[in-house]
Amino acid sequence: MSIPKKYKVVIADPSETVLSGLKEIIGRTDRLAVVEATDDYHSMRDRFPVLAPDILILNPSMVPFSPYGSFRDNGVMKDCPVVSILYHHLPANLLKGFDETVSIYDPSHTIVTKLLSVLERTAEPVQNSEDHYELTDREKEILVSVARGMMNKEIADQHHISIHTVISHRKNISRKTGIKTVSGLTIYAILNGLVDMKDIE
Amino acid sequence: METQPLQQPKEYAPDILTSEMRLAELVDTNYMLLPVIERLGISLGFGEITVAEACAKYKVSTGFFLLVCNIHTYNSFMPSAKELEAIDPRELISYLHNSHEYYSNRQIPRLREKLESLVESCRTTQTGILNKFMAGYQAELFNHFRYEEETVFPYVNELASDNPPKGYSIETFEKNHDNIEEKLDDLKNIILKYLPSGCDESLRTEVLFDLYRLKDDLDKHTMMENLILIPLVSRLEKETSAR
Repeated sequence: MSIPKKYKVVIADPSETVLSGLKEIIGRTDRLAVVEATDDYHSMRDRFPVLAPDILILNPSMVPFSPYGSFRDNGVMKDCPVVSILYHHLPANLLKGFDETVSIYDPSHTIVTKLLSVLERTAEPVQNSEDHYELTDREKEILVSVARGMMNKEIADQHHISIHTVISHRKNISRKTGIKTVSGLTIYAILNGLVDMKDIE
Repeated sequence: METQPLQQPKEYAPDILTSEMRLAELVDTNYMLLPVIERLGISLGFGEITVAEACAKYKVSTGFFLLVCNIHTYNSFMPSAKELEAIDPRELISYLHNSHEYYSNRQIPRLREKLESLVESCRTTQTGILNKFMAGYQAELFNHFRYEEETVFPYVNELASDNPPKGYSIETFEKNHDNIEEKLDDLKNIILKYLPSGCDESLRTEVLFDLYRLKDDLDKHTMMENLILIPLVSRLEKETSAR
């Protein structure tokens, strides 16, 4: 058996209390390690390539005002999954570009579970592992969108996930089914009753 | 004579397929060479004649004959610089053209027909989209053939002529086959894994056999283009500009 990888976590939040709390919670699991907890968004972004986290927890209020989700469009954070930490409910458009949302009122184990599940679904497929070939519910949802002819960007917007995550879902779908082209995936979706023929045209 | 198992990627050795062996022996060694021999313009019913004799009779150069057979038999085969230099461009183009005809007029229509019967035998109506998928694949493949027939082949023939065009290079030549290959692979996987049971099983097996065979044959066709045609064109282009 191989030793499970320890994922590097970076946290950016204006509140020292929240930073300490998250560090404490995440520190309890041996799958995750906090390499940085900061209240300085810009210095964090500048050092992002050096920190090279596997996942970033980011308070949306720290993101400089700009079109929603654009902090992911280019630059250093493009390929890293980003989870938002919320103190209160926010409208969906403010959460564009985030892969997942945790709330400060979430039980600690929920926060850890959410982080790990984001990491698992965005991880590169592991070759030759004996993993299951059934599509997950999330993958089925993405597949339906693909079959309806949606572009990666549209799919990301509709499911409130990053384009990076969409691509990684699509990779996993193709790996599991052995089907790579959009028209092939559409047939798969129809034969498996995930979409109706009349939805396609 | 002992026949070797098919489809096992064997290591290439120069003394297995030779000009002295009988043509029938050659086919026994690898029966996937049957359509290759046909596309080279050699008819079956050749009795006991050797490869060299058949080549002389049908005016095919022995070197080219063995080259094509080796490509179709060994995945590890790489033509030597000497072998490449000896190729007559017009002989290569004629073979590639015959291959296009063979796929377009026989293999693909036959596969399509069988697929239609298979789809008809299934109880669900959704399987009808498979015919549409196949039509899409066919259109893409034929489009690719047409490009080669109308643009690439005339260009190569001109390069090889006594009066080659100067200062013109065909840059879009190394076209991407990926999507076309992926579609064929998708079709195979869909029929193998996801077409519901209850369809005509013997037809399904037949269609799958045809798909695997077509895929192998087309892969070799791509190899002919990548390993022989493309190096040949760049050599001819160099020679032309040096004149």
